[in-house]
Amino acid sequence: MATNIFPQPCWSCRGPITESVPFCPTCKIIQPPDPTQNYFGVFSIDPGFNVDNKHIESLYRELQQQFHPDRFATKSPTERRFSMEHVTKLNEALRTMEDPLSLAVYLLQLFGHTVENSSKPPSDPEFLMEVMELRESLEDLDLSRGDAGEELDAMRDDVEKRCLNEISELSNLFNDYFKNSQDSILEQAAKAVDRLRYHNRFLEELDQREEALY
Amino acid sequence: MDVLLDIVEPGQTPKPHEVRLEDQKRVVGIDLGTTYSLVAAVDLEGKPACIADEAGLLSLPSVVYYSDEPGREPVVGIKAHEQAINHPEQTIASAKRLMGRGLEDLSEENSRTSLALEAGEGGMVQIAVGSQHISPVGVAAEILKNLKSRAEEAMGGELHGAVITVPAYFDDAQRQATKDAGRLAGLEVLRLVNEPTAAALAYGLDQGKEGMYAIYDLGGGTFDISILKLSKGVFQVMSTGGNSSLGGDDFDNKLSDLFLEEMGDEKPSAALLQICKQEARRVKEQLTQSQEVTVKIEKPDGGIYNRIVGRSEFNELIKKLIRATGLPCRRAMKDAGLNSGKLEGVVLVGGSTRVPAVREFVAEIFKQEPLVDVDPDQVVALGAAHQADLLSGNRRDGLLLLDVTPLSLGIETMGELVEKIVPRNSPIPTARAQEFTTFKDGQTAMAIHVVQGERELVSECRSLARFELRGIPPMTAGAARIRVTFQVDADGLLTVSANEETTGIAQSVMVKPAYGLSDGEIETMLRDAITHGAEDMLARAFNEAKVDADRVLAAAGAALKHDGDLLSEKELKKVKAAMLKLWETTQGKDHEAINLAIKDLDRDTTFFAQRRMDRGVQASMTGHNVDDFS
Repeated sequence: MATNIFPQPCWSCRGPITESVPFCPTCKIIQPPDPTQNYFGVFSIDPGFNVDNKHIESLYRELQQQFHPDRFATKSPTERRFSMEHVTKLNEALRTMEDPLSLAVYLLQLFGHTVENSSKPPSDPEFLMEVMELRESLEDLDLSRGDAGEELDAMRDDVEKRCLNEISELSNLFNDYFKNSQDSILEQAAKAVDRLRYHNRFLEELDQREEALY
Repeated sequence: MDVLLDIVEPGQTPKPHEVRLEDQKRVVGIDLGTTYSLVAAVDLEGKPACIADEAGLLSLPSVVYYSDEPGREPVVGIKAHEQAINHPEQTIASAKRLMGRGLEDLSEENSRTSLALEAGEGGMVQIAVGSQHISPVGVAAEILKNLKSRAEEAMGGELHGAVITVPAYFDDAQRQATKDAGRLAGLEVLRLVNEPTAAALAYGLDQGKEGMYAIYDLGGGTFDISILKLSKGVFQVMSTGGNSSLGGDDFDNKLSDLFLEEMGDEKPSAALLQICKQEARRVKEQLTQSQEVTVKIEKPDGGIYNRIVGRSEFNELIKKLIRATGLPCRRAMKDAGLNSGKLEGVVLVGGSTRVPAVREFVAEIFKQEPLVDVDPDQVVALGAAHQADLLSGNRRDGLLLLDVTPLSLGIETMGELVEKIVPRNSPIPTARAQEFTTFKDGQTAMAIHVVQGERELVSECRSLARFELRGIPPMTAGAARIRVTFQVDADGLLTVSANEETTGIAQSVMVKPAYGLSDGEIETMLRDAITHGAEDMLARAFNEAKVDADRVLAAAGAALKHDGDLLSEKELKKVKAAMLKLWETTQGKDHEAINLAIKDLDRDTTFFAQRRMDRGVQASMTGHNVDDFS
């Protein structure tokens, strides 16, 4: 991580700030978030795909206690703004950590591999077949039938299983990459991300159909 | 308390030695309800309590009566409620349902109410009372003013700030409207807090519990469901949902419709409608205790309408309404990643949860008996008072509220579809960005339409704002990178900015979604409220007329800019002359001259409006939505 923005003076007391810290060591006033700090840095944990959600949540609550705008409601507009910026970043960091798809995309980006969020049909012919079959079975489903709810549930179970497979594949790939930084591993991961994204969207569609049932 | 010592000029802070013990700031929590409103404050020991009026009553009916005599102050509360039967068209109740709403948004209200609803600027609802045009924001401000002075009397000085609660399901326009009502009432709004969240705060404090809780809040006009997680003093909203036009008033309406139908009066007078509504409410309230209630209403023809309503009949009548709360509950549970077995408790909020059938339904859907320890009418105000106390810095006990966006925010893309940028239930504050590109060669501007809601079609979501990003350097289609950023602050209010990235030239636009009142108008209304003394009636009339004139001029100017080509040169001249004349009257002092000039301009632009409408219909039929201005 490049932290070449330090040292710099505190915006308030002009005291020296030599590293990424949320509060000035001299006057204790809140500092703006460090733009070079990534989401793992926000929680002070090592980058990786296997994050402990319980641990993250408890760190999240502690950080909210420190930075939430409610804690700065009587402070100056600048302090209030920095507080909001910290918490905005914190919320974004939590969201990324808690969702395997977002986390995988974020890691790929950290490693310099940008993933396109496109709605283009999959390029992998085998996966394309899978996609078309799933879609057909959804289109064929008659929502007016009494057992439509159970059919939807069965489809959801099936797609959720596929998601879990992709997540565990991603976990293995990222573990491999940490041992042996090969670009080919990232390419494989990007393909798994595409599949996971597709399946997530499919699950959302199932939800919409289900809501139409009630 | 020696009253003489506490007299302070308006706008001035009390002298230091008059400030309360321990330099406590005077802050309150206000539950601005559809049918009732309450104000509460935390005492020196940290206990929140509701503040009573002179008669010892805690709840203030959210009703405002406007006299048709000009210059008379509006009447708020029970005294206004008493006017409802004789002056139904001048007595505004349930204004919260109209807050931040356009006339088109209101489905049933229109046919139901005895008020003369009309479309104000931007199609926003206003109420015509005699010659006055009253906005729901103005009505809410009157209620807030009443509560403010009640609190100031009790607390011995001017308030430093207030937390106002809103239904979790309120959209951005409704939140903005509420905040503006606070400003109009002269309150420093410390924070808008979601009602269920406030309720949880009041609850959790007494109990010190941990785990997941559902807050089921059925008030007079709104239904909210929130799932909260309590952990180590942090109240984290996991998900929220609801229906901003479903509540106990609808129960009353069902009953009142039944009475009217049985009376056979197809065109009931406004007074009869009022009587039936009040009778319906009484029946509903008594049925929470009794199994049956007798109804007696005098008909206009002198006859008596007489019948008995049993609880089971009432339950059948409102069954569908209660069932309608089920879907938001299931959705909120799913969004929170829960099934009902994992809930620690279910908290009931709002007077309508006193209805036994509602309690039974709640027990059924969450598979457990709900908690009812805190008075459901007071719980929201008590929680808000606590939050106000925390925000004012009076106390630090580590409690923290983490809230979420109730509805997804997005922008319109090709094919009238919505691209979601901030999904519902995102923790706030939050900022999200999305990139878009031009779709034509040399395109230099792009229309951005901000919407809120869960549906895929723009027409089914709430339109918050439209703006144009201009000055995009001409490039081939798809080359420009336009980054649209949504920032939602801790009040849940949205700011949108957009800029073009490839050229490095910052083209940035900030928009505050408008719901009809611009900041300028709010200022005018504020000034208006302050200088509203009897001697200033003329100035007030002039101010109102000038605001109207500015609005009309702005609308006409915009129309000419976009559709001026629809006019011949001669017609254009005529319109411009009328506009100039109107502008000149605004420089004078005579409000009647302004009103006359507005009418003239109106007359001279009728045909223009018709042509614009025709064009609008044609444009919508061809289906273009991302405009090309190049």
